[in-house]
Amino acid sequence: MIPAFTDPAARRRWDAYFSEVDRLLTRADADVAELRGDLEAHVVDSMATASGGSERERLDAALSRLGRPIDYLRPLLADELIERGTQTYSPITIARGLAHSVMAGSRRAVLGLTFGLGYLLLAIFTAMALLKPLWGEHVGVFRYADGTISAGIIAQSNGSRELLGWWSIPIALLLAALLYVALTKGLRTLKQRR
Amino acid sequence: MARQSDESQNPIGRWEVQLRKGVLEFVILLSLSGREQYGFELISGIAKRAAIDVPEGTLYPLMLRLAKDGLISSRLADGDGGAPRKYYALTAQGRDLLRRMIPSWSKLAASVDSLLPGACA
Repeated sequence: MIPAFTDPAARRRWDAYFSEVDRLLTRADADVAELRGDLEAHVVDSMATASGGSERERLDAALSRLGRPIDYLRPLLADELIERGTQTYSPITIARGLAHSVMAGSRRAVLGLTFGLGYLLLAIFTAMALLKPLWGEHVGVFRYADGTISAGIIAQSNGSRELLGWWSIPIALLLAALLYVALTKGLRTLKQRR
Repeated sequence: MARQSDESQNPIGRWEVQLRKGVLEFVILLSLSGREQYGFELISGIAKRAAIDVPEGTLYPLMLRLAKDGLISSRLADGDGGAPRKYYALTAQGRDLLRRMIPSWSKLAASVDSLLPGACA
């Protein structure tokens, strides 16, 4: 149900919006794909009830009230793909659904994982600084005979050469402090944005 | 869009968005309890009467879910201009759920109201 636009710019805007809808609904099942028609009808009705303004302005206002397709379609697609994937035992469909889920509503989970890994790294640096005086030959940066390098707290350091010596302590402490400040500032910024 | 980003910047705006989203399902069922309505009519009616100010697109996936759950049904019928429109109506299951949701809502609203400053204990 495409309106007969007189303004080519309005037509381009319409096409761009519904191309995005189509892109998101490409792999959706028939019920979900039917949404495109519902959305088109909604925009046509919304433009028809608007008073004043050019065709382009009325379309812009209607699409603005509708919202960005990615914002309102992604959670739906995530649910739909996960449901279909679990019914058909399709790992690809499940993975696609999970990807949509992560990118839509589960942003917090990804952030939580990222910050969790960050704090784990911080704990490792701190542990390195604390353990170096007690377990010196197993803590630091080690180069093995075959040229490989390992860093951290290493149980099997035989045959390797420790590169940093006591410098491991200030370097680990510095990295821990920098990481602590960066993670804390990052969390504070996120909290303010929410 | 500007309105939404304004809302997401301040705590009361964010709280209101979450609150509105939480009651959308109930509001849709309530709106359809009187008569069947087409999409734009339903959504603009909700925006006007209930001041549920969320992006209109949010409501279509929700209505699809309500339809999948058997709470609402849809049918195509001629609209004002002759172009077919999709009309939504409550199913018997949806009506039954709504009947049970209303006392829950009233109870919740009354209990929250009783906590407001100046309310009689």
